[in-house]
Formats: sequence, structure tokens, C-alpha cells
Amino acid sequence: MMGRAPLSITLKWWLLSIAAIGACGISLFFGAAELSPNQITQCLLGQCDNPTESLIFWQIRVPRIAVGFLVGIGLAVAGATLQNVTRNSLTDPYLFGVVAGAGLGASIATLLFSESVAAQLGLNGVDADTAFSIALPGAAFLGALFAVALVQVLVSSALGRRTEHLLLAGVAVSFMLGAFSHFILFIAEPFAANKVVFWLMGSLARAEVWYAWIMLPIVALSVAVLLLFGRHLDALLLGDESAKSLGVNVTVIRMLCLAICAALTACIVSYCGGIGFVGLMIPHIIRHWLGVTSRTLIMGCVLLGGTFMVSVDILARTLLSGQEIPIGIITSAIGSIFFFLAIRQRA
Amino acid sequence: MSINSALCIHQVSLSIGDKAILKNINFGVERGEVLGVLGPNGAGKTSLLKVIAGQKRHQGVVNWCGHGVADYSIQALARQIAVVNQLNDVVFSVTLKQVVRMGLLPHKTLLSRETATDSQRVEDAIQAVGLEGKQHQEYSSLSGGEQQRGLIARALVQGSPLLILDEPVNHLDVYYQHQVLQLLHDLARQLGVTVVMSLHDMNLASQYCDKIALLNSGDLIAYGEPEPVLNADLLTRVFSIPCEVKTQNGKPHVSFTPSRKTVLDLSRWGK
Repeated sequence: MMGRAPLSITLKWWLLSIAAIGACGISLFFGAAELSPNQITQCLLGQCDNPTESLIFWQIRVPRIAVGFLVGIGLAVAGATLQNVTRNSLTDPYLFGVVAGAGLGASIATLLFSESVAAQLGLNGVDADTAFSIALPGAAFLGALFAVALVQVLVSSALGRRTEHLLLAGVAVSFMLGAFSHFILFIAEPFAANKVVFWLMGSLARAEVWYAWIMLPIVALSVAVLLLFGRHLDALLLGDESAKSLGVNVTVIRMLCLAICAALTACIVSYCGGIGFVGLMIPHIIRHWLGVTSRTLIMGCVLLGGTFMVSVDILARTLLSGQEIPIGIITSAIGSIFFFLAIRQRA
Repeated sequence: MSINSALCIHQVSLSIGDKAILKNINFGVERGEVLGVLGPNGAGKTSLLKVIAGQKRHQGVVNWCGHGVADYSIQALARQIAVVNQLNDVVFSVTLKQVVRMGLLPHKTLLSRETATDSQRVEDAIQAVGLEGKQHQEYSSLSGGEQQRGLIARALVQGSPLLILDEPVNHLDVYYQHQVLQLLHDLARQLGVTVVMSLHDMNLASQYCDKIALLNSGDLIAYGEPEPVLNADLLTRVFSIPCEVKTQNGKPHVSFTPSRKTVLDLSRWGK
């Protein structure tokens, strides 16, 4: 129980960093197209003479890893922040109706933008697919924002500002929006419904360069702000009153953190679909392994969240030969087993 | 009582709904004094402390060093007033040291780092409350008394000139009751810190407090030095238990002498 030796903490940070770099490096070798280790090294060093290989490498593989890493960071950091702010280790960004909202947005998009509508607009084949691939995440993003706004309005007006109310409002909004989108999928054509359900399972397969460039500043800014307010977040660990007496404007900090979590999750969910359990599992591991203070927690989540996501994406591409498993299925499977083991260990 | 006191409570009232919690309270505390707030459960002790700490909206004025408590910004207030509430529930496994370190917050900007002086300050505070060697233990695994002392150490690190404590000796054994109260007394005498705390034990209040405020159902029944406030008639009336007050080492010593009539009638509970 006595103090941990400083060396072992440093060692842990090194291990996490090595794991992060390792996972990204290994992930370079997996993908639909065949690239030999030799070709990959050449591409990495910029000495690849085959333009197709170079294109596959820089436009498909690397962006996918970057997106995976950023999504992992985003989900883990959003989860950790939300848990600290609500003082509840079982809070998850998805409890706040973000996924349900994104689902509703996606459902509405599929309903309004079916094949027949596309045909009327004079779009067909590839054009229709492209239009749909823009409309779906766009609508999902709006839906996610709508859900978060709804939760905020409920909490700030009618219910007061207690954290339990926040959770209850999130769950209520989740179910309400979930009911709407199920109804829409029920009346929509089966093919469209299929598309939404598949999209909700979560995948990094759509990862593209532009998305990585959008995610990078959002994730970097969020992490920077959270690190800056690390002491304030720590003060919240002993409760609102205690934090106030230490000079923390609890309402402002909580709103700021919720806004950050909402933005992160909305960006991720609208593009990659539902990827569950990352925001629960990664902070849980970091708290036990490295400590609970906010700056440690957030930096730990940056490294481990990214590593986890990139590693799981390797599994998603290799477990079944010839096709990809939606990544949300794997994270949820791993997450549930993880929690089962965590409960057993504690009991 | 004077309008020039360091801490000045002027016509303070507080009600929740129709219920009056505090009724027109007036008193002043000088810099470096120790004030004990006494009274039965529900008398309004905790509410009064929260009002002074600027944590509760109220009517009337609470002035600290000539400025209304409500006029300070949240951070400026934290540099002026440190609060030790009754025990907090802790959700994640913070260590004692991390809790004590939180006291640095009001003195830090977003970008400033923790200096060697800061770390020394944290170590010293932990030592002052007798918790050295437990820095890295989980706060929630400490005993109630140790947690309480941890919070006092945090307030020491915060270093505010006004210290407000809600029943600081509640979970402490006799040894640490005296230890903590002596520490607070020393802070007042040596550093000029003004201490305001609620207590249940009349005799501890008598020994360690310069002033005593006796509350009952939201009224300030008596205010002043221990000698006049702790008088047998008054205490008997407020606590509904007969009591005697003797003088011991120049301080009033209160012993309650309950009638020992049975209050539990089991006959109606049947066999």
C-alpha cells in the first residue's frame, strides 16, 4: 500500500508509448491490398516507385490508422472526463443520448434520401452512393448535437444541475430518440434500415484523409483544454461544494467539459458509427494502473485509447478472412468480458 | 460586536421555503480569534457556516475584511476563506497527498507548475496533522478521523486567513480532538488566522474558543466569551437537559445531568 516507486510509473509511461507506436507500426502491415513488408518500408521512407502502392499506403492505410488512433483518444478522453465530472465511474458518452441522436439523424437521412429520391434528383449509381455517404454522417452529426442540446436544456431548466439528473436526462433522451429512430426504420424500406443498422455497428472502413484532418484539431484542442483545467477537474473529485470552496466555478467547468465530450463524441459517432465500451474500459484501466488525477488520466487515455482502437481495428480486418467485422461488435465484446472479469476480481 | 470586526455578520437571515433557518443574526469576530458555534441539532450551525463561507444565498450582510463575501470572485474568495466540511464521499481512489495538494489550486493559474516550495508546503501540512507516512494511501481507506485531518491539512495548504470548519473533531478520538483544536488555536495565535467552527462538545469549546455563539432554532441565543455564554440556565433551556457549570482552570466546565428516565417504551411492541 505504500508509495509506488517513481521508476515504475516512468516505466509504465514508456510501456504505453511503446505500445502505441508498436500498434500503429504493426497495423501498417494489415489491409485489403497486398503490400509486402519491403514495399511498406519503402513507402514509409518515401522511396516507393509504384504510384498505386504509394496511393494505397498514404491514402488508405495511414489515414485509417490515424483515424483509429484519434477515435480511440476521443472516446477514451470523453469517457474519462464525463466520469470525473459526474463523479460516476460507469458514465459513458453514449449514455448521453449521443449515439441515439446520431442514429435518429441517420435514420431520417435514410428515410428522406432513399434510392427513389436520389433518382428524382437525377442522381444514380455512384453519384447516389456518394451523396448518401455525405448525407448520412451529416445528418448523424446534427442528430448527435440535437441530443446533447436536448439533455442540456432538460438539465439546466427543469431538473436542476445535479449529476444524477444529468444521467437520468441522458438516459431518457436516449430512449426517446431511440424510439423515434426505430419507428422510422420500421416504416422505411428494409434496405435503408439495413444500412443504418450496419452503420450503427461502427466501423473505421470509411476512414479518409480529410476526416483525420478534421479530427486532429478537435481532439488536440479538447485534450489541451482538459489538461489545462486538470487541477479544477481534480478538485471536483471530492464533490461540488469542496471544489467551490477551492475557487472552482463548478457550473462553468462542468458545462465546458460536457461541451467537449459532446463535440468529441458527435464527431466520432457521426462518421464511424457506434463504437461502445471504449470510453468505459480505457479510463477504468488507466485509473487502476496509473492513478486518478486528471492530467495523468487524460494522458493515459490518449496513449491507451489510441493503442486499443488501432489494435482492435487489426482484429476487425483479420478475424474473418475476406470481410471486415464492424469494429463496434469487437469493442463491445471485449468490453463486456473485461467488465465481467473486473467484477469477479473485485468480488 | 463592532462594524469594524474582521468578520462581521450583520442582520443575516436565511429561510428555505417557509422555514426560517437563521433569524436576524448579528455578531463580529476579530482577526486571530477562534469562534465556536454551539447549539442542538437543527439549530442552524451548518447553515450559518455556509452563509459565512459564501456558499448559501441569504439576506443581510457578511463582511470579511471590509468587503461583502458575495463581492469576491470565486477564486479570490478561496484565497480568503478555506472550508472544511463534514466528510466528503470520494468516488475514485485519490491518495491523501492528492487531496491535500488540492489546497494549492486557488494560488495557481492554469499554466503554473507545482514548485518545490509547493511540495514542501504539502508535506508540512500533512506532518502538522500527524499523517506523515500515509501520503500515498487511498483517501477513502483512511479512518474518519484521518480523513478529517486530511481535509484540515488541505485547508492549511490553502492558507486562507479565515478558516471555517463544520464539526472538525466529530470523528476524532480524544487525543486528536485536543491535537486538532490546539493546532487551530496555534494557527489563530501564531499566524493570525481567524477560525470559525461548529462544535458539539461544550468543554472543548470552553477550552479552545475565544468566543462562543450559541444557536437555537435559528436564533442567536448568546454570543461572547465562554464564561458568560456557557451558563447553566441558558444551556439547560437550549438543550432541554439539566446541567451544572463549574470553573476549572479558569474556564467554565459543563456537566449535563440527565434525569435518566426511560424514553423507550417497549410494552407496545408486543412479544
